[in-house]
Amino acid sequence: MKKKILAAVVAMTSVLSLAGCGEKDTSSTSTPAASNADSAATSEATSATGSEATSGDTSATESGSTEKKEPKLVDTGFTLPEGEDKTFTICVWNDEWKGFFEKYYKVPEGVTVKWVSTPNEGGAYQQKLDQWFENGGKTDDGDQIDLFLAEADYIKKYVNSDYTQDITSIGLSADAGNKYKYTVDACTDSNGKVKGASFQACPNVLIYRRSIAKDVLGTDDPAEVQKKLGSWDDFNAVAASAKDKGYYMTPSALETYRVFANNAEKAFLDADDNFQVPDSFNSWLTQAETFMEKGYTIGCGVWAPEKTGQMGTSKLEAAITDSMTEEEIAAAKANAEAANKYEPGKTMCFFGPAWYYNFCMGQAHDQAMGDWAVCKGPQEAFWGGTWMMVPTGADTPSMTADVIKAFTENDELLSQLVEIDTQYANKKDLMKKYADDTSYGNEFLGGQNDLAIMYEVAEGITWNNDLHTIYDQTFNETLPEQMLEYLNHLVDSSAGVDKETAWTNFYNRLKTVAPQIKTPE
Amino acid sequence: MENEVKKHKSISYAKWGYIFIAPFFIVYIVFQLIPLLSTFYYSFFESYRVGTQTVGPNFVGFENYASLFAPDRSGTILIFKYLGNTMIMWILGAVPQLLFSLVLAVIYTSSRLKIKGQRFFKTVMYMPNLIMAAAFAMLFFQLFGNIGPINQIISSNGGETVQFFNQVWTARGIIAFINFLMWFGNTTILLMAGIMGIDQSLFEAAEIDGATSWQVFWKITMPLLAPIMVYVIITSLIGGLQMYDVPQIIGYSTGAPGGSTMTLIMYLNNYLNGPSRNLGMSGALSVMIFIITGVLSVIVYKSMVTNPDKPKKTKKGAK
Repeated sequence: MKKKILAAVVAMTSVLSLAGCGEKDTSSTSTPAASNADSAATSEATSATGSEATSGDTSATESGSTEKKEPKLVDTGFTLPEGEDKTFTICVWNDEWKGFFEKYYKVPEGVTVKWVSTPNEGGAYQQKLDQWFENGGKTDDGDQIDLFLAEADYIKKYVNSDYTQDITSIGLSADAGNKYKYTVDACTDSNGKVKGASFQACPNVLIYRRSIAKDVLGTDDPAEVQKKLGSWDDFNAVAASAKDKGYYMTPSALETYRVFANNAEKAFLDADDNFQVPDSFNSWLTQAETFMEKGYTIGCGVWAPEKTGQMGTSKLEAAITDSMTEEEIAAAKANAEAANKYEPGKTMCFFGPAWYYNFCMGQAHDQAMGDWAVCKGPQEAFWGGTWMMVPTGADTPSMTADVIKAFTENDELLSQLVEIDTQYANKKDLMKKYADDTSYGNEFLGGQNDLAIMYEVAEGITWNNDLHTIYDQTFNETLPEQMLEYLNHLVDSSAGVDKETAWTNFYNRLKTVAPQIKTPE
Repeated sequence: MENEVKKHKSISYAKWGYIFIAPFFIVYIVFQLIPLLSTFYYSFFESYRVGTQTVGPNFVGFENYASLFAPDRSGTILIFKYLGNTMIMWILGAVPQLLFSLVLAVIYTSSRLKIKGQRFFKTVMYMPNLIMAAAFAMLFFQLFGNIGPINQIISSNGGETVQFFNQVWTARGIIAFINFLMWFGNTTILLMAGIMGIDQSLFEAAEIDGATSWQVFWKITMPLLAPIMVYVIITSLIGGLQMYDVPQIIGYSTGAPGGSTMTLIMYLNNYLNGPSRNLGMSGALSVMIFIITGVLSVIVYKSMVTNPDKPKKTKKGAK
């Protein structure tokens, strides 16, 4: 029997942790059937450990989502001109955009689309791209690359290189038009040439748990909550009152990192490759130190299972029954808290864009559907984003242009992207329509129209090329991870390392990433 | 290793011998020797990438080696630190593994005990080795995580959560334990083969003379097992120095906590597979790993084979 319980626990942890990280990859392409299977697995595992309370309402929400529209291929009326290659080669790092493309873009007759997918782990995707472009833009199979995707964290590297070409050279307009300006600035090189376009905008919002907000702030109305969390000072003050009620403000010490980093006043490198620390980073670190020391957050990473657990339901709540007296409930709470600081489902605020809460908060979807809402939060920011880049030497350029056009201008295609895949399309006038549509609502957010909030945030996002480096991935991922060791050390001196050592370790790492960067002695 | 060639020119059938061994040498030269030599060559050059641009290759002499041995801002020489980590984690895993395997091998081959189902046990013991190291490490990463089953058991018994992966010795201990678990079956089978290769009549004679099991073990098994022992230890040492996948996962790929689980190969990987693709530095580091491996292997070999027992030398070429 004991073995069975242990097996169930092991199964649960693996399922839960997979739900945390893996989902990002499969995200938008997952069909209703796949997500059904997913939630079935999770609810099965949770019921094995005793909290069955939630398995009932999952099925209800699933049936709701199947009412969604069926995807329909959009014919752009494009025909391939004579003389262009009939193989359209696209390089990607996962299946997300590939799924959109296959669902919505009608490939013109006579053209074969060839996908070359390289996972992003350990920079493998970039390495492959570099290798191919050194080779004249040909993949391992000898196909000329016609389109490739790039992420915000390393887009600068490709924008400022000869590997990409001006979109005007394939007949597209460099004008931002209805696109969000920051998405255009991100793929504009130092000479002002636009080298690609993004099909989405990724405004970051504050995602809060309604039930906890009611308890802590006395309201779960997004406008009211925004008033109370509109600045970092307010946010920090609310963190204290959340703690008094037994909640965490954020699920991870790194949760607010992206928001601060996006609002940096300078880059991590100056013009001569000297490492420098932006004030925004110090603001984040100060906040994280306070949050750790006062117990407002958990010392874990952005994708850690501890954080994923915070999206679920408190086991304690499931254990409390109506027949219990006040004292018994208080005792049970105190017990659970003393025993486990990782008690799930006790966090009020998460930060992330649409892709994050729609696809990476699986536990929240399974166990606390509808108990969430979004507001703008203390500062505007974005997280992630996928850009379609025009490679030099593309031998099917008119189709490259047509695909980019379809994914940035075609209302019929983009509205499916919004309605079926809950993406935030990079087309202002279309998004305005959704933002103003009172009948539109996201079930996960209890029917709130999140696009209205995002529309507001997206307007405020800026991209300044001077604030970005080609090593953003290192500064946005490795640096906070190294700091996390110090933050853990703050509360438990046997764990992690002190601040100086954390910095030393990061500088050592930076030496391997970029030998030309000069770090402080 | 390869000095058996070019000894004497005879008119006999030797050329057929050369033809038959040629495929190995061709493959060896193309895929091993040339890359090995070019690693030495590259280690004298500055050659890395900045974004999409390549810097170098510029000849810089021993500069890469100098920066490899330059202390960081806290005064630590990283290559020694990472070598230390690697060796500590290897010893933590390999010593118990050897003892454990030796005991198992003696028990399984004992003619007195005559244990049944040997094949079954051999298969079971070897099983962990068939699982991918990364998968094994992931499993332990889950088990010992802050909200993993082990911590759930601890906290349900009133204990405080142990942050296994944020503390130096628990993190190293878990890595060593995974390596132990993965490799003890392999070692046991090698040692069993070694023991079974010992002439049975020696054991019988000892038994007739009234030797105890303890005496048989120390006077017969151990001395005659020495050549296999040397082989096992040296291969384990080389494998240990190349430790990568398990600590990469357990140490959050940064060698957490505080770089205490960062091994030499992880360090190499940062240079080689990072955005810089630093061929010069990774060349220099590879050369150092090559030298370290060679020196340590010689030390182990010399320290074990100084006993002037002739038969031991015969197994020398096993590796």
